[in-house]
Amino acid sequence: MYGYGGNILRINLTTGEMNIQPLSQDMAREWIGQRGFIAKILWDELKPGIDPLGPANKLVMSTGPLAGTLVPAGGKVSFGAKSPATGIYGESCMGGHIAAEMKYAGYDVIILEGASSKPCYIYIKDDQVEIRDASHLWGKGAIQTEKALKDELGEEFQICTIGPAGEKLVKYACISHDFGRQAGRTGMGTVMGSKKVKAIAICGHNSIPLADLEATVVKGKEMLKGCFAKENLDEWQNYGTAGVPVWANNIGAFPTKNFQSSYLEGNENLDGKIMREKMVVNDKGCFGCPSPCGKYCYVKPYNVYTEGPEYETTALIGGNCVFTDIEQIGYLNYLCDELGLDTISAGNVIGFAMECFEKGILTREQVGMELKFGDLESFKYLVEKIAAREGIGNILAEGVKYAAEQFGGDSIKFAIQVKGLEWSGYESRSAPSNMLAYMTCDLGAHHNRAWSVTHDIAVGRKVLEGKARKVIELQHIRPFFDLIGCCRLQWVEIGFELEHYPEVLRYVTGFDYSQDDLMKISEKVWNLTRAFAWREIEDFGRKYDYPPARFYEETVTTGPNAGDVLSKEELDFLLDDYYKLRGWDLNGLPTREKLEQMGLGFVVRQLESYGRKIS
Amino acid sequence: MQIKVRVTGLLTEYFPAGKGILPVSLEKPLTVKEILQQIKVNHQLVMTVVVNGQRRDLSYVPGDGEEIVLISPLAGG
Amino acid sequence: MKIALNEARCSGCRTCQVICSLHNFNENNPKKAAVKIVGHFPTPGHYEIKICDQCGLCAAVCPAEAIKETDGVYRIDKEKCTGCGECIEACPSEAMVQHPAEKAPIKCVACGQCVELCQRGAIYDADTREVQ
Repeated sequence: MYGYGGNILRINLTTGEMNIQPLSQDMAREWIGQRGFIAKILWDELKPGIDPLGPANKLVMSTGPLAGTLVPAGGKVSFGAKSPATGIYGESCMGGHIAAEMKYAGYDVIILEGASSKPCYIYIKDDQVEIRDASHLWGKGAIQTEKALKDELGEEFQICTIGPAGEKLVKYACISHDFGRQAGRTGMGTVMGSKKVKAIAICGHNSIPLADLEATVVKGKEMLKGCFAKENLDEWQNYGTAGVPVWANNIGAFPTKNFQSSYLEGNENLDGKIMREKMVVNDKGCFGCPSPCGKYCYVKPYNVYTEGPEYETTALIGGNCVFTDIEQIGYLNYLCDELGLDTISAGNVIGFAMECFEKGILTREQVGMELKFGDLESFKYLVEKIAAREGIGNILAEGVKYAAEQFGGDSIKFAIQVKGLEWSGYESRSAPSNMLAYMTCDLGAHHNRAWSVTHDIAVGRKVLEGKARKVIELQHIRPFFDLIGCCRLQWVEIGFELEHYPEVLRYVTGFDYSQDDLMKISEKVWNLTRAFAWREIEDFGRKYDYPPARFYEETVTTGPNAGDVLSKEELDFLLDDYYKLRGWDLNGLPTREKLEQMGLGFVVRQLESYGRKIS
Repeated sequence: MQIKVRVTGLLTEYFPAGKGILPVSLEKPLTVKEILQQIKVNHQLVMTVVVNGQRRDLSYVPGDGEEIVLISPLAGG
Repeated sequence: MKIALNEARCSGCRTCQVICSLHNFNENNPKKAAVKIVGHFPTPGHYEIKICDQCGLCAAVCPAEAIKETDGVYRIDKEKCTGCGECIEACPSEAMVQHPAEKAPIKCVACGQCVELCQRGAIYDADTREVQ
């Protein structure tokens, strides 16, 4: 099939059975790829109520039709499963080279089912698929494991791995690839660990058939050169997302001291320019990328190599735990990467623990040492305890929501999460649309779906009207890139035009989508993943969309937005508007009319069979 | 004196000249921040100022005929 | 066209490989590209590019005399090539590529497509451009 690897590979780790089925034309046309495939497969194949860490859960790895082609930055792959962090639909994407490699091996989707009884890794060389012993890799760091397998199998293999945190089932363990790219969120590394799969190694030798090869080459070149010509390309290549922390601080959006504030004193030391001078050894790009943002670093005082820190890491480890030395953040980034921990959740969890200690909710006896914001030893101690699930780490390994429920006091108010997923790196009490975006993200408080701080600044930071409309628009555009196998950063960061994508999809796949068709499919997936949450949780709805009380009861403590807060009434205004525009009921649940209009009649029937009352 | 202003990325959505070049007449030299006030663009939407390939900030004072390129903030990784 | 390298600029994106296979094989298949990118990670953290510099040693060792030079570029005659692999062994740049579906090795013919799409100037044409 044009544009696709053409097959779905299914591996049952309990029985060792494998099978390869062709990808159907209908599946491809209707769900496009990657996150579309994942959502559909998880809906069809997972029974509600299963244990996310039990053998009944499935880890679905999928990429899209543009991955591995000449279309700029076709290097994205997503992993999906029922999330152990949130108990609802989980998914996380990453770059690197393994998305392209999957397709050269002939696969658009790889499904891991069941669970192995002993550590293993998946070996895939075209149609040769094996479950191999990984006892020699178990316990190793995520990056070390990739290196060991590269040495063993050869440079041509692309490999994704988990670290010790994934093995120990820390709820925010990531899947790591290409020495510094991670599918970090919603605990996809945890699910991989629960199946005792240490790594997936892929090498493919096949061509991706193209519907119109000549037109793809012409259009692909035009798109690449369009990106090369962007005025801001140099700025972006030089600093990547490390260019952002200073701006985020100046506008009062930089998470600081477990989101007490949005302004960090000393943040100017985290500037991309300083990072570049002190640490960067190479600009590192993912597959087909015309604007490489990866900053590969050597952190001299600690003698470690790491990719990044990226903005989110600098925000959550740096700002949130109050580090203002970029080399310290680089070192902690390295630790998280080797241990296989999502830096967003880890930074949240550790910032939370530091605040609990400061407030006397946690004691020296409970923790084993004194915790302080900005103290390198505190972070190091906790991150290692978490990855090993030792002592206090065993509680913190469950995420901030669970930890707050255990620690008590009023700590749930400053456990910064939505739906159990820790909040990405923008403090949003002065950015209502961004607040709404993280509240309503189908995964929990994650920036992948919509990010709209600039919209708040442009149209007014106190304004509430019209914000929901913008959030919905972005929730369809941004994750659209996670349907096609492409990075969104060319569009988001250097301003590359969206209009190119329907045309190039036609040349690659032969499917003739309009821009509107593509947005409709993106919306369909959005409704499906929302329905997934409802199928799992009987009382799902509005109450799951609120941010922690800190954001509606406490004001920002310092900086340009000191004193700002969004009241619960204001949050309800945003949610009311959002649900209405989405065609959902007042409790935020998709209506029969909406689901049917989206072609999701099968969802209506199933929800009803589980006793859900659809309005 | 006159200068030219251009913006990149998502900022084009909120810029009077969109993706085009906006000529701005000034009575006296002003900082980029002051110029933005004059053309009613919120300076918080600007992450970096680039003039002749050099990275500057909002306090930069462009000379006559210079073109300033405003880099919009990125969208959070 | 004199293909030259500035490896410090390589970001490892492999666009060179994609266009190489599209142009020379009419296939979207980087494994058929005549350029190899080798990452050295986690240390010291850089990419190595392996591509033919048209030294001609392959022609010299070819027992079938299947490799001939025209205008400074060595090309493999696929009809004559027996797939013995002597040239692959001999290549000092390790730049000859073997693919399971191809009998003859894959070798750079200096078409310059990779140069056209290397935004970073890691692969460039030394005839027209100074090293960046």
